[in-house]
This record gives sequence, C-alpha cells and structure tokens, in this order.
Amino acid sequence: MTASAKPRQRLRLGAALLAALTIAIALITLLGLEPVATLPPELNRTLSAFSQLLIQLVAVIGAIALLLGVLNLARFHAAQLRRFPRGLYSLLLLFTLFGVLLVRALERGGVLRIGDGTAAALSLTILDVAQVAVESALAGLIFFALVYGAVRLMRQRVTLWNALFLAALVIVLLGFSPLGEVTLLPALREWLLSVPVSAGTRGLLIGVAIGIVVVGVRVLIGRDRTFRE
Amino acid sequence: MIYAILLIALLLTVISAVRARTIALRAVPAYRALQRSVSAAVESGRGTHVSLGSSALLDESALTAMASAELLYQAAARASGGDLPVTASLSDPVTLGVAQDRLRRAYLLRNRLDTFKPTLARWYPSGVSSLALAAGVGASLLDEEDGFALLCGRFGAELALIAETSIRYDRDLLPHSTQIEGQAVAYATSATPLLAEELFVSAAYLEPMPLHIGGAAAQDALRYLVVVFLIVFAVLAFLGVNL
Repeated sequence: MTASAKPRQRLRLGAALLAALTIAIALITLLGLEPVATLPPELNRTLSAFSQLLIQLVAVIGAIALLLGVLNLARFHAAQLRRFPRGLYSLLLLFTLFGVLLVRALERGGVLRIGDGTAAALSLTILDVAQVAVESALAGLIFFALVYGAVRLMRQRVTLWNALFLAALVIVLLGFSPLGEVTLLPALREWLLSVPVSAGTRGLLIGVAIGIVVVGVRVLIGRDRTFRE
Repeated sequence: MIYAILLIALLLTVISAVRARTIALRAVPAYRALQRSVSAAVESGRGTHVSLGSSALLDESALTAMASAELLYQAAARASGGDLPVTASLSDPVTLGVAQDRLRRAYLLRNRLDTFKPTLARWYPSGVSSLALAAGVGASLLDEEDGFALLCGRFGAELALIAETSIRYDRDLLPHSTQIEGQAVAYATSATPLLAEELFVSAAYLEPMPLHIGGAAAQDALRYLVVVFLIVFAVLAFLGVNL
C-alpha cells in the first residue's frame, strides 16, 4: 500500500481543534509581525505584543528541545554499544559527551579553574581544539569530494549540462589560480559569476520563495499533515 | 504586500484544487527516481535514510523543514514495509520531534508501529555548517546498510561529503538543497537531483489529492506570474520608463 492508497479518514475532534488553534495563532502572529494600516493602532499594538510573547515561548521550547536532542543522541549511542566493533565509536562519543558535561559542571561550580581565572574556559578550549579543527579538515575535503562526484557523474553519463558544469567548474577554479592571471580566465570567471551564476541564483531563490509561500498557505489553512490527521 | 501575495496564492490553490481532475502536472524526474530507489532498497533488503539537513522550525527555514518532513513521510510510507528500518537525521532539535512524528505516522500507515523507535530519527549537533551531520550521515549509511539516501532541506557544500560516500559505496542518492551551494553540489553528484522548489510539491506527486495538486499548480502559476512581471519590468527599464 502506498501513501496515495491510504483509506479516507474521518475528521477527528482533536485534529479539528488543533487546526483551529493553529490557524488562529498563525494569523495573530502574522498580524502582529506585519501590522495592517487599516486596523486601530491599539489593536495593532496588542497583536504585536501577543506575537512577541508567542515568539519568546518558542525560544523556551527550543531550549527544552535541545535537552531532548541530547537525550536522543545518548540513547541511540547507548544502544549501539552492544555492536562491536562499531560500538567503539559510540563509546567514544558517550565518553566525550559526559566528560565535557562534567568539565562544564565543575567549571560552573567553581571547582575547576584554569590559571588566575582570566583564561578561556576549559570546555570552550576543548571545543576549539576538537570540533573546530575536525570541521575545518572536513571543509577542506569538500572541494575534492565535489570534483570527484562531478567526474564520477560524467563517467556514468555524459550530457550537455554535465559537460557545461564541469567546464564552468574548471574555468572558475583556474581563474582563481596564479596561472590564470596571465590569461583571459579571470575576466571569464568574473563574467560567469556576475551574469549566468547571479541570474541562476536569483531564479532558484525566487522559486524557493514561491514554494515557501504555497506551503505557508497550506499551514495557514490548517491542511498540513500535523493538523489534518 | 505579504497579505496580497498570500491571498493570490490561496486563491490559485483553491481554484486549482477544485479543477484538480483536469490538471496535468509537469513531469519531475526526481519523484520517479525516488519511487524507483525506495522500491529497489526494499526489494534488496536494505534501509532508507532521509536527512533534513539543517532545516529548522525555529528560524527562517521553518517551512522548508515542514516540506522536508512531508517528503520524509512520503518516502517512509513507501519504505517502512522493508526489512531494515527507515532512518532520519537532522541538526535542529526542535525539528527532531516533527521527524519522529512523521516516521511514526508512516509506520502506523503500514501497521508496523511495533517496529518504530523514536531513535530512528537522530539529532546530530552542528555548528554554523552541518559538517558534523554530514560526517554522521555518511557513517550511518554504511553502518545501517542503507541502499538509498534522500537528502532534502537546507544543506551547504557539506552535502558533497554525504554524496561522495553514497557514490563510493554504490548507494542510490537523491539530493536537494534550498541553498545555492548545496543545490550546485546536488546537481553535480546526481543524475536526477530534486531542484530547489520541487521539494514543496512532493505531496502532489506522491499522494495526489486535490489540495496537493492545487498547491503545485498554484506554485507553477505564481512562477509564471513572476516571469511575466520580470520581463515587463525589464522591457520598461529598457525603454527608459522610470517606475
């Protein structure tokens, strides 16, 4: 059975109430963030204050969700511990998670202090040393992964658009290199970036914006799956 | 202005929904590829992984996160009958709840709620970019023996890392991003990438109900309207008309 073959469901009271609540809150938030000039100023101020309150509540929910995210992560990796040798990665992750939490708790409690107290917190130093360094290394690999992917795609199937993509990639990369300075490549690279790339970027972003408007309408009229079923 | 745009979109959606039977949607190769890849993964006894990237309910990508969650549901509804589970990953903890809900609904649709676990949707903490998520998803594809990776939502150039793993280990890949860098990588690494706004009409192609078809038709109509406006303004500017 596919999603399209799903039997028609009866309207449930809970779903209807949820949809009504969502539509009301969405409209109030929209009116609060984008006041209508024809409405009385007092009403606009009230709606604006109410929408700000709702946005603050959402920030609190975000903090609680972060805690749930950490629990989700810990729970998943705890379950992975039984699988050897893959579980070793999970063990390392859990060890790091609880280690950093312990260090942070000791810092907050004033038990752990580096130097005269003016140095950066140890937990932040650990983050800089480990995560930032690893992320930087991964970022460096992206270029190679991209070129490898493009070449693999060309090996599977050569199309006009794939060839054009590879040619544009080579022109832009060589245009940035010192070798390109003595040729027309920098000028060609500038033209590529300012005309076709800029136009394509705007086209894609306009398309995404229109898609977002259509999904927004679906949510505003309570027809998203969350409220529909 | 925003109210006028919303009103036009609503009117177009409702009118198109009423006439849904007579509307033929344009072909989107990515959705045909998605159905093929999910079927292939199920038949070969492999899992399916859907990543929502850094789409987040608490920032400007909220509606992208909702659209990605809908596509997660559509893919999971087709793949949850397989031997291996459908897994999801993301880097926003608030969106995690939505992803778990969509997976649960998909398993419920298949009457396989007993095999659903909340940890099938996973949160990978990330910084400014989603590099930690990319590394985690790449490892997860191999660990879970997934045969198909669907990447939809907000990805930057880090999408290349996941794509490289998929290509290297012969996993089917269907990438998408609402970010320019991610979309460029998606185009370079897949023969049938999902292009930018196509994400928002997934339900119209995979669960064609009148309102979904209406939304897709409204999206196309709005795009043509924008194109007409752009051409008109360009011609007027060329003629020296000061607007």
